[in-house]
Amino acid sequence: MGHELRILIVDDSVMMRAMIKRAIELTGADVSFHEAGNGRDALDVLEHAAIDVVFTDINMPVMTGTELLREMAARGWRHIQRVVVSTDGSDARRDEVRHLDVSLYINKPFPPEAVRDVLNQISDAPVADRS
Amino acid sequence: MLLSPTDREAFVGAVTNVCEQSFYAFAEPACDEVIERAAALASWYEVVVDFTGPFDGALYVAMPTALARELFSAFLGLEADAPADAAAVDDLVGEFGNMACGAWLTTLHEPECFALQHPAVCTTTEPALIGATIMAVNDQPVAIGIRLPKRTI
Repeated sequence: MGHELRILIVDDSVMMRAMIKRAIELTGADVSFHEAGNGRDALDVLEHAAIDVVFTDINMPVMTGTELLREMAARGWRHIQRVVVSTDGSDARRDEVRHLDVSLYINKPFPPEAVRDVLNQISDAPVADRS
Repeated sequence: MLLSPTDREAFVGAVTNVCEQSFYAFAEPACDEVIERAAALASWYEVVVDFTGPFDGALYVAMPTALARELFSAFLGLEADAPADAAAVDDLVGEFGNMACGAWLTTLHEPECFALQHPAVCTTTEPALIGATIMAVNDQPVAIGIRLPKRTI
């Protein structure tokens, strides 16, 4: 990876955010983290910080992940990669977010390797597996 | 209400998948000894996850407090006896219910999306064991059920 990847993790579960963060750290990738508990807080972060990748849950209070993705699309933030991390792995949900510039999807529950594979697709070079 | 055998199998499979993939826990059908032990336990976590969509309902999970703390440590890769903040364990139990609910609903292949509400977590001395399916997770009882007030599947 050529430069530090600035990652925003959006999930209403503090534990799930910690788990995603740990899975990313295990890859050994050069990353920095921001966190948000819902879509509204995530928009606040995105307005004030440079972010390369957003990992977002779907079902959240205040503002859902789908609403966040719609807002990101409306604001033209196409340079930010979107990764959905959700318990909802249905075709209906995948079709819905595919139209919102989401190219990568992680289904909960997931093994740490699923996060590594996603980072490999995002980064230029493969990410080492230090798990 | 009762799930059909096929739906019940999918539901138990979804919970098993969550136990194994996220909590590195072994889940299996409960034997009589585990079921009897469930009735004697006095400290439980309960989580209810309401969902709406193609049909409405709620998922219910009850697990012993000791198991919740064990799963907490496994989820974060901590030592089994690592200290656990109560709010963090609450959050973790809620996420367990959230994942179980989402994983089961995904198996139904409905043409429209479900929306899951934020999990409601509490502690209790009297979990709703009657009518629930009892599983053994790491040899401890876990009660699971689906409440579908307006629809039978």
